[in-house]
Amino acid sequence: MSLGQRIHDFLQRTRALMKGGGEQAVQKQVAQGKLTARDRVARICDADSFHEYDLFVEHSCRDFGMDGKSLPGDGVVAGTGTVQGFPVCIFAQDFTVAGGSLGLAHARKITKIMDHAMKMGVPLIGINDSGGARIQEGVNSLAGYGEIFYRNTLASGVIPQISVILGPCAGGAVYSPALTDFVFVVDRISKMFITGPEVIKTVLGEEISMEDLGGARVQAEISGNAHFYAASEEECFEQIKRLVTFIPWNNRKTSDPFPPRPPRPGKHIESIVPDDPRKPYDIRDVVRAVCDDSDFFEIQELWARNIVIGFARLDGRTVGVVGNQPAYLAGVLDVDASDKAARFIRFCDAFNIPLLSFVDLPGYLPGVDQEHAGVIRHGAKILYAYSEATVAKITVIIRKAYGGGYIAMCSRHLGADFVFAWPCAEIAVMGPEGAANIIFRKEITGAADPDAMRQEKIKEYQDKFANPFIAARDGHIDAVIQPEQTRDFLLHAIRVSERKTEQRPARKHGIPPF
Amino acid sequence: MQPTRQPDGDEPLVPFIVDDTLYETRLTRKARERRLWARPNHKHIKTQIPGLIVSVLVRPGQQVRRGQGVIVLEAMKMRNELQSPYDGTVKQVLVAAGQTVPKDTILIELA
Repeated sequence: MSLGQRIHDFLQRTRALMKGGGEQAVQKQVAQGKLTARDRVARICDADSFHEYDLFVEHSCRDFGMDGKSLPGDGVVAGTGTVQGFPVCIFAQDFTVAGGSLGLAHARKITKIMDHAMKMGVPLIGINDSGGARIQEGVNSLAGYGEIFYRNTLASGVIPQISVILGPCAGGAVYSPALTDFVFVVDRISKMFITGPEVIKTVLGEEISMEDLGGARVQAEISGNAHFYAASEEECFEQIKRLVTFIPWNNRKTSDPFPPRPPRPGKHIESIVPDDPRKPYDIRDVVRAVCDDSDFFEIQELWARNIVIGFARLDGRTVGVVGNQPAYLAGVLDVDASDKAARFIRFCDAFNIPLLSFVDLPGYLPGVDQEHAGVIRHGAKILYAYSEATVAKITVIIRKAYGGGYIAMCSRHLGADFVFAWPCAEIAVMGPEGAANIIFRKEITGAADPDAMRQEKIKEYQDKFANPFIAARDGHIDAVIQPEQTRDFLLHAIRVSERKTEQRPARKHGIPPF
Repeated sequence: MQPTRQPDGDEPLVPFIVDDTLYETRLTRKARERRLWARPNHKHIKTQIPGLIVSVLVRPGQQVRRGQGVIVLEAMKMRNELQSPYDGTVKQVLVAAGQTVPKDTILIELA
């Protein structure tokens, strides 16, 4: 055979494989409002940057009539490409081929590209759209999942791992996304659960739709399993492209700097925060007032809204922002908020992203449900994560910083490098009302007019403690600053801490309160 | 297509108390759906898991001893014998064999 004939033969084979599960299956996929695996990869990656590998991989299953069956690419597309110029390793399960079911060859394509991502030190993007284990392959299919989970764990904190759920992702399969750093979901397309509605109905007698059980909205708002929620695949891809610009390729690098930009003209920073510490405002307005281009890229926007996390830039450099949100639950810390913040803090620390914390909270959320849900154990995660972090830690106390909440929100005591407080900051064990009721209980109950006495004592406490100066006197904060000086102080702090190093005693690993 | 993303701040501001201080804020969906804690009634034998009542082993008025089986519940492909938590008398039986019951259903009330 001449080279020309061989090339012709090769092209023919390739064309056949590129059709995936065939026209009918592709039509079915499109009818559900879904793109095909290759389209998805092509749209996430920069134009013509995707290079596919392992197209000719085939399974070696001999049971249940599988020996006669050829599955193009074994149901997964894998390769490398660039996203916004950043190199990435990427794989996409192809639902048109045997429902994207995972057999050993399919899994080995994934683990191969994962190993490659680790060696190259580039982010990994995985697109999940699969009916689950390829049952015909028995334990080999389970082996495949296990090998993926193992690598997800080894890669954790070494390269950023992104999971995109664009179809079903059920049973054991959900644990790969769960082990990765960012999970993207799309309304009406993503479905994640351990046991599906059918099983729940037969075994438990509870009837629920897939959407209500594990749809995108549920994962983004109730369970907190998802980090980004989009209305369409297109919007989801835009979110991925934005995320990639904020994070470094791997844990030995820092995020690429952007041209520094001033915040956009908007609300005056002093007008954002109400004088009365009991009134709400949107902490994100404060973030936008100080960060470059007023560009705040929020993560887990819908879940545990009482704390806000996300990326922004100062002087063109990425920072990880954590802020109490007085607009929801008065900004208290609770089980979910602690979980949300702690994981984000650890991501930032692992990937050399400085932490910027905005504090305005009344403390931890009181309630039987919180105590029984383990707010002690979960609340401890945020203490652990901040204390453990060795990246630059900058804290701005805006208004209330009470009790355990004050300590938890990256206080000096947990190793903050810079702690600034606005003049309206109240750094105390608790709010004036609660404190007065305890300290002056006798005076209040013994008074002729207890209410008047209570008000008097509240005022007394307020005048004495509801300010930043006692904490400043004892060196717990570094500077009291005017709100409009905030950006200047932050830019300076970022510059000063650029080469920060902090050594910790050697250990295999810490034991966070998981 | 109906809008799925709620615009920010369309939930009403509600009073919210932490340490005797009344704050004005919004509730998250989870907080709105939060159920108040109720003191458990130790006279009730309840299901910990949904399932099928295979058989009822006692009748009203019957004396039972601590650890005595009172109901067989099939759940997760297992037959579980539910036992009386203490010595007592069965006041009423609220389910019958063949019935499928959800989690937290009161099956038997002890006197």
